[in-house]
Amino acid sequence: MSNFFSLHQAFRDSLLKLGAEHKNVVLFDSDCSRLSGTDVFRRQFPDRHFNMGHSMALAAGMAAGFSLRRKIVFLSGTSVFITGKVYESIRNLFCLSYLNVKIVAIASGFSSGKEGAVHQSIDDIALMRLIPNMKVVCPADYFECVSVFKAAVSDFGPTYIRLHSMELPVLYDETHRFFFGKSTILKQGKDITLFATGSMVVPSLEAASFLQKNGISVRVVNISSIKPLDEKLIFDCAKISKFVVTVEEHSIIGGLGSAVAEVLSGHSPFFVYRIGIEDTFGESGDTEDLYEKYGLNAKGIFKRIQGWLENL
Amino acid sequence: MTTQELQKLIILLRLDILEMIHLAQSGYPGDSLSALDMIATLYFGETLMHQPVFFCDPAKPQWEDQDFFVLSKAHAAPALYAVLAERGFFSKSELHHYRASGSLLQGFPVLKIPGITAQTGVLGHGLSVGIGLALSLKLDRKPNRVYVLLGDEEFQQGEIWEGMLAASHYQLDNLCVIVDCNGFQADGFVREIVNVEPLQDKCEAFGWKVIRVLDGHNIEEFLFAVEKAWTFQRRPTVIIAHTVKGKGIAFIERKIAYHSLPLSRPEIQAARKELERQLDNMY
Repeated sequence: MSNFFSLHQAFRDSLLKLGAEHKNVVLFDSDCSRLSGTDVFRRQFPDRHFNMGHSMALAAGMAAGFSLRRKIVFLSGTSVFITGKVYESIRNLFCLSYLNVKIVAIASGFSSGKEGAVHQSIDDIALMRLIPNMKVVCPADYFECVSVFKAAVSDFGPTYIRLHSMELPVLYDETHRFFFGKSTILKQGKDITLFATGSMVVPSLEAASFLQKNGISVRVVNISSIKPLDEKLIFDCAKISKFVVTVEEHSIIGGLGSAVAEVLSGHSPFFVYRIGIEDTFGESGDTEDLYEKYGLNAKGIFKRIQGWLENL
Repeated sequence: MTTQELQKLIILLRLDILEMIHLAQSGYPGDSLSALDMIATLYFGETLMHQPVFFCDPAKPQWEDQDFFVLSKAHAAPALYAVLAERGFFSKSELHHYRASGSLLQGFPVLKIPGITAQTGVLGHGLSVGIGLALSLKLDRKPNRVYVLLGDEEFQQGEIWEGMLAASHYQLDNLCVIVDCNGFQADGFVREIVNVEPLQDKCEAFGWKVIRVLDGHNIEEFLFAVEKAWTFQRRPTVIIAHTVKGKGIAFIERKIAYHSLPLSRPEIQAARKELERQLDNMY
């Protein structure tokens, strides 16, 4: 895990490739193309890039208009605004009409640490997961992210792709293939299972190796497809674990933790512990410092799990 | 269709609309009737050169060369449904099941209905979708035209003004917005709730060409405005058409009570008599 790449880089690389392959790929930006780096798409395909500035609701409506004419539309914006500000357009235009619009939410979670609570998206998975027809994906590394974009373009329908803006360690290679509704086991273990998503996959792996040193065998699963969810895998893992833990850079309400609990609550009793942001807003700070404060690094995850193990 | 044939058709469609809202026991008669004449004129009207104003083909609802009509004031859906059925997009018997469970004709237009090219239902969305359609047509160098029908109260929505900026920024001369200015909204007069006037000055300041239609129920005046709209280059056009809420039925005209109140059976009978008189007066 020595190489680090940002998911925004994967977004840029994928856009250039998909833009060349598919003449009907268009990109709508909302005054964040310098942040996401999608400037490169504008330079390559100036006709197919529309920067709508701060008119986000308009951008969403126009994206709907383009997709009605069989365009594959990418709608890019910062996670907080592209979900919360235009939620109703996403619900009533993209999802109800089942339009082929791919929402690419950049700077998710605590990515914009120093900007403070307004810019930190801790509720976007919950909002998007709630809407019928929507698919929700949260890739964990560069190669998975590239594969997600490929899958999203081959697929039809509204999709929400949640990208972290920090550079993340590489977990996979070019051969990795993402499928909607499929999750991958990154580390086998028999005592407990960690279900992690996006930026929290690597800290979960690190926490698992600390626990391993203490004699606890931990399985780590990367849930990049939050909706549809790999229900069978989650159930199978839970059956053979003392308890399961979800880890996400998102509120513990409505996100991955809720999704996993919803699946498992239909079966015999399981202990589901959720690690994430505990029904509170964030604050300004360096992203790493915020992880430390909110318990979202390897140490924090390790400590929480140790506590639960003691109470077992 | 000649103006006189169109006038006769509109009178008959008024009754269809009142019937469908009565059967559904829900819907918006006032706004459906204020918008009907313009929708019917678009779908059935002819230019001076005897070309259809609006290109569409009921046999090919996904036709590449069709024009687009976006009903942003989607609560006037009964008017559009009655026109589409008359135009042959679906059977007229569907009108009797408007808003019923399992029916084709939903309260607000959805894509599964033949002839509906954009789903609407939230005031303020239609213009953005129309701009997306118009800009994507420009991108593909296609000559198709896009019409968006707005209610005057929609100008209270911020998204409309975002669209007013963008359409002139992109010089969308393939976009024609029609404003059904009946002066009412659910709670009363638009001018008393949040005034949108002077609309013409505002639209012109945003870079649009404005055509005023003093009587949105005058077929010839409206047709003339639509033809004129397509003579402007590099600028979008807005037709501000003054209309009467509940047009054609004297006892509901300009009555806020009938914004979302279906007519009772005796009221339908009275309306039918009035419409029959209108037909008789034509000859």
